[in-house]
Amino acid sequence: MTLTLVGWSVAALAPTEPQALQTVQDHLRNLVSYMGSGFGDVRVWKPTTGDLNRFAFCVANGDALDITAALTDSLYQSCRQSICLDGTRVPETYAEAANNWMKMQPDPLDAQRKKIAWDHVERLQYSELIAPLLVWARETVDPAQRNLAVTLANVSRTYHLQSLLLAADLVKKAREKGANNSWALPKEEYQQQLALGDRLVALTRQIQQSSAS
Amino acid sequence: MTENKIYERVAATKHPFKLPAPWAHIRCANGFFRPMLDRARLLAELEDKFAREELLASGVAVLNTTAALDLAPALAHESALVFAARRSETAWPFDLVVEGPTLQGSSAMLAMVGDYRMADRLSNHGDHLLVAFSLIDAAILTTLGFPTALASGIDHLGGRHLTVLCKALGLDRRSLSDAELD
Repeated sequence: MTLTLVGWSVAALAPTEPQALQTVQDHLRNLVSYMGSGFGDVRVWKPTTGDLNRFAFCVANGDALDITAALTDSLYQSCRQSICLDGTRVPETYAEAANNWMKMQPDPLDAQRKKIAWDHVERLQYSELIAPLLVWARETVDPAQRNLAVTLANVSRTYHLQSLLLAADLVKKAREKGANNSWALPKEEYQQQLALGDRLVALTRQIQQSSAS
Repeated sequence: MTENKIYERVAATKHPFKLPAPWAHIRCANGFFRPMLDRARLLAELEDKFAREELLASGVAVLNTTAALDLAPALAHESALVFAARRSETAWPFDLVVEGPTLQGSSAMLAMVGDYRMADRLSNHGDHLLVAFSLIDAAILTTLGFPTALASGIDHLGGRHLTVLCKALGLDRRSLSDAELD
């Protein structure tokens, strides 16, 4: 879960910072630092001047999809440059987030930090892999193709996250039992993952065939 | 619960809310409304249907200096904007969110996160919850599909409300004893 404080005036499309922003940010920082509030990550969304110009243009000339796309781009871009409230740098790419999270697995770090790292994985996986698929689905006119694209997004999301969890489990077992027994994970988990991989390939083929016809 | 019936009555007498310029051409999301324009009539209707104590307990009305009932200031002012938070599409509102504390006296964020539409919006946006600082900003962002709650009350968030909020968002939070909750 990522909490993002809206650090500008949406109604006025202006960079005006809300009066209570700093107070709220300080309180949330204390909740995270002192009480392990459960909020994985708290950021502030501050659009650039270029973002605000794009919003104004899209609001005046575009439809809800154009406006949402402009806001989403700004939101993710702004948050990429943010710093976590616990002082660590926010990963900028899905690969970086996945790598950070994997690195944490062998060590008995506190659950809060692992949770924050996992939140980054989910968020960046969504923005880099899933959101573009969903945008593509929304823009696809043919209902059958649109359904395939939405299914592809859903299966991709599960597949990538489960792959990471499986790899992390492997690292954990290897550490517990020694490298010689590192393959001793439940066969069903591997089979399930392979089946998901097959489903992804099949979906991609279906989409290619339906586009060609 | 009587207060839920009262909130439903207030929501039923709503005046359509138009987003301000430059957003005016976009139709505002369901749930946001302005109370009936004739506030005196709204209060009279409420007094006709509900007991004085019930209206006071619900937060919809307050006592004025002559011990008569007035509409709560958050509902009475000219540009009052309200969000009716519901557990399901057909349920009566469990709270009315206004600028500041809700009519139940709770945190606006808690009420908005508890609304039945929030779970879908969160899952469509990778569990990314926006926290706006005005109800109009929240209305615009919600209209565009972003899961959005209102910040008012967060600067004092703690104790039982924090635990309830974390639970509503599906976040881990150590269990607090009843003593701590009080």
